[in-house]
Amino acid sequence: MFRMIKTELWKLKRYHVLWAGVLLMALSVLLALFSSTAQDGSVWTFSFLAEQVIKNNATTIFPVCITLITGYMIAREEKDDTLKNIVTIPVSYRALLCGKLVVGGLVSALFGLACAALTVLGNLIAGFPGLTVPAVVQTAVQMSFNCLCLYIAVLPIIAVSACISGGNMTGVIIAFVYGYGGMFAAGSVKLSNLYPITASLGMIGYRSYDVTWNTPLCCGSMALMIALTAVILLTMKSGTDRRWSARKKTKTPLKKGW
Amino acid sequence: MNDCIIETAGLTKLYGSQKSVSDLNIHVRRGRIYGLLGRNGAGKTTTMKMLLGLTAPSSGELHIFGEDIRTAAREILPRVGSLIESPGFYPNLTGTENLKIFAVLRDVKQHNAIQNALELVGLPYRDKKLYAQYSLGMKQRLAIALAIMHNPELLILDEPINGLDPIGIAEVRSFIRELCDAQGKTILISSHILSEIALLADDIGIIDKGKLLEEESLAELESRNGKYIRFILSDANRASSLLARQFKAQDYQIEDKHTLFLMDTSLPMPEMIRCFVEHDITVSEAHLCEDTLEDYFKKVTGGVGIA
Repeated sequence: MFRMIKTELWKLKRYHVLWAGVLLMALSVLLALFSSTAQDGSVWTFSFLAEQVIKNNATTIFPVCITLITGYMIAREEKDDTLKNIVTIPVSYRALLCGKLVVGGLVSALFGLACAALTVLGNLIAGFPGLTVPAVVQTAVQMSFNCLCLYIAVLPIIAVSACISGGNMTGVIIAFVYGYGGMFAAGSVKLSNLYPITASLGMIGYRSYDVTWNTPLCCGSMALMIALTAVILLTMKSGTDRRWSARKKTKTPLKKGW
Repeated sequence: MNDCIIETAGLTKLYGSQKSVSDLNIHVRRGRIYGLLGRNGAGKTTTMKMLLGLTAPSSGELHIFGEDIRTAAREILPRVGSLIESPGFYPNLTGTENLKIFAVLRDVKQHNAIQNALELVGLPYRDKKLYAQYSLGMKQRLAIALAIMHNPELLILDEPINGLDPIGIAEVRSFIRELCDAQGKTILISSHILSEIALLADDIGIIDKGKLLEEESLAELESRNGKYIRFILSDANRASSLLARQFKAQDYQIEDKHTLFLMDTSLPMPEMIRCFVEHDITVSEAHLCEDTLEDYFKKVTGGVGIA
């Protein structure tokens, strides 16, 4: 497994889709900064800005972002026609997927750090008070851990879409709806602790006005997602005749004239 | 002891109701180059995919190194190098970086394995050029480098010369031959280019519409090839009478009034020509002809050529 993770990390070299993830993190910060322009009586500080970014991330941006990127990392093996070279090593598709999912977790944590850095940058531009080193460190840890928990929350979606040829975009759409559902779940105390998206906020002790976090319940929700992913991986079709023969044929453009 | 590295019996692959490979029995012997010949869509790639466990056979037996790939893939595949269909690599990485990934996954111990493989196929080591910028020929060379990097005992190469220029084809042919002769590797190679297979293979299997029509050594096929002398003359009828009278020739065929085929190639051509000239028959052409592998392929498949 160590070899799988190592090679998966190498594959990320010069990988443009990671920059798309950073851009989405920046969008999360921009959304929060945009909210700060509303005259609703809120007192904006660095900590408050970070909270808004975390909330935006959890319900709108990150589930889609990480499903898209991890799904793309998985789908590229099919797209680049490299799966046949891996399977004939032999490395099973399941082992390959496990390696990719572990790397997806690392990438999530790194996106959290990038998001924290962008939040600091946003705060410097907006000039909100309260930008201290302890606050920045807390934000970095919280965002990083939250992104990791959000990743765990969407893991079953990524795993299922990886089992379906070309299921990447379907997974992204489901992740969007699933993430958005967090907004509704946040209204209920019980559901907030159970729904994986909002439970990820409970895992980092997110300051909430309506909910008292039940950490064991939130942990249970995360554990359930990991268990569900494990079941999907263990029961997935691991045999032949799946992806390595499913390469889509590109249409040859018709030549005009001679 | 069974000398076959690859042995199949009644190997069949169905896609829906269509038979892609039907009742295939191939025998690839140790230390030899086996050329699998067939038109596009004949079932060559499907056969190779089944051998590598990339697709499951619908029925039949399949043994590599005496073991079934379906149950012993972990033991068989590390001893096999392969190139199936088009090369597949990560476009954002260089050739060396790509090979490094597979070397780590394969747990290749030899520290200079990547460099050696790249040098063998004529690609630079640690070049900055990304795979996405490679030409088709370079991609094909990299795929061959991947197949040989871990020093496998058996190579399964599906159309390895696709996209290569004539010099590249000659180079690849030469090192495939060397891999077999100097290192004793067994090679199964598929192609629809008959001339290449004729130059490279020791044994040949002709596959058409999923069925193996012929399996023989190249030497045996060559010995079976039809040989004849073709004359272009002023009067084929008179020439045939002379051949029968003077040289006791019986096996000949008059194509038209100027063309004569003599099947008995043991008769002395200079004497025959002299005899024709002495009897006022003008000889425009006299050739010793031999059926090519393509002619044989046409004969076996009962139709047109391979291309």
